[in-house]
Amino acid sequence: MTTLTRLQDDFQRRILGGDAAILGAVVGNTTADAAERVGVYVHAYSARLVEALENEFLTLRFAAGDETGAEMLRDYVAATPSTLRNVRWYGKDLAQFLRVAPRWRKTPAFAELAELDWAISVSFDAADETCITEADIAVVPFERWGEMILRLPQHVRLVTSAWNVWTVRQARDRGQACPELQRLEYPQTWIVSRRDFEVHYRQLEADEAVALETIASGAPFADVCAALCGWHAQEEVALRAAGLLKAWLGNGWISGAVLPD
Amino acid sequence: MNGNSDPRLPALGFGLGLRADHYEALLDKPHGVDWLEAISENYFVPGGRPRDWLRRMREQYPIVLHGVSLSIGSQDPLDADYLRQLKQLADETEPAWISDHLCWTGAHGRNLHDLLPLPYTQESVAHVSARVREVQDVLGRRLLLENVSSYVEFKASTMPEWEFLAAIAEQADCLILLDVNNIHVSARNHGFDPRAYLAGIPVRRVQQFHLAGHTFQNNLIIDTHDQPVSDPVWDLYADAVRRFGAVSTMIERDDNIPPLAQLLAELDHARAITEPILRAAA
Repeated sequence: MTTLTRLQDDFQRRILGGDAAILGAVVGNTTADAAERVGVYVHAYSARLVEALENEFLTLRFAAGDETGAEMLRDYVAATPSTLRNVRWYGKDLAQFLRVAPRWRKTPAFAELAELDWAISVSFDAADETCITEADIAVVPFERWGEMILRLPQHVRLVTSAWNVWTVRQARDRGQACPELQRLEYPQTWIVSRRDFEVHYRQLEADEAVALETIASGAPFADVCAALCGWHAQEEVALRAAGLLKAWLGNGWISGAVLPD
Repeated sequence: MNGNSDPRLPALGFGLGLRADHYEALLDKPHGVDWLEAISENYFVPGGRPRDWLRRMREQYPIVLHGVSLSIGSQDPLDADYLRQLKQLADETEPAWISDHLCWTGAHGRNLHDLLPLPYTQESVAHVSARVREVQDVLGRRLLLENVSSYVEFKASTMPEWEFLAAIAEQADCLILLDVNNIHVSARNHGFDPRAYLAGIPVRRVQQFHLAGHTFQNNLIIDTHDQPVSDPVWDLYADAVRRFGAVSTMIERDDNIPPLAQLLAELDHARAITEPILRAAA
């Protein structure tokens, strides 16, 4: 093992909470001993990642409070060594961590808050995609609409929540006090999307949510109509589907419509 | 790239780090900002507002790209995906130059998100130099390497930091981003003479200066970028200008970010230091 390799192994192990072998390789003096010097890096590792997460998970912090929020982020950092060059993506597994970590899973709303924040974050800098319009759909022969597969752009995210996490987000955005976390009578699906570089979110009607989830699954438009049959009489489905599609196109939520060969 | 001719690129003047807090104000093209330095990784995202801001800034300013996670000193292989993203961003942005740090940021696939110092040995010189050449081949241009602030030195080191940096610059045929604050911080933390550091760096390799603030933590100084540039750093900057001449200078501020006017005043101070020195030398 080379000197460089050994030093990097020992230093990294210490930063990630391991043994202190690196201290023997570090110059200490009257200014600071080896432990204090290495300690600067040990402290900075956790502090830097927690700070990055704090800037990302705003609703979670708002609901949990700064102290509890920081504790859950520190737990995540301790359990999740970074393998990413870009700290931007480090929070991608936080919701799942909060869902299963014994200390936090007792409050399922925390995982849902993290999921909400991550959806907003991902939408913010998702790829710029040109969305199609009614004119693009008009060229699809009507008799083939059932086969048509619609595509959602990457900035469109669907998030289903069993807790009132979106009410919490709205309160935060309006500068209001945080409401108490409560389980909803029925789960709600919200859509997060971006327009003119601004991220927006709103609650979906139950039928619209299922229709969009069907599209997100890659199913053809006929399946969307079939899904709507759960809410509407057969003779009303086509009208509702057409109305939804028109609204989605207007909102910039559809980035493609393809017909199978 | 020919290692014998002067490798330096034309100087850009006095610039600032591109930070979100100042996006709007910078678009108004305030007097005194000649160029901007963008953190490369901040724009390794698919799209949205960050990429749009960078495009708009590029329309108004010369831009340089400054990375924080190339990890040029790591024992791990160079990250091909990272280099691909950097190359793509460079192709889109057409930066005047690209820089990163003389450090390592992790090993065995882990990333510690910090600028960790290397042992100053011949082994490290050879290791880093070979990797810089690889990076330069991918980017099709010389890389600038920045000296980092450090809080540890390794017993294994066989040369001072400035000798280490100079050796790599020559062997790799790359350029240097000399961070004057980092020299001050490391000099105080390790007890070396910062003027000896300046004297040990080859003039023809220095393409850019960084200036920044720091904070005290017990007996150590920490490179926090959350304070104005300190008087000892301004003094050292004057010495750097005397040695290296008209070098592109920028101020880094990453935390406790003040209104743009305060940074513009600091840039004016840098100009006020530089101009008489360059006039006297002319």
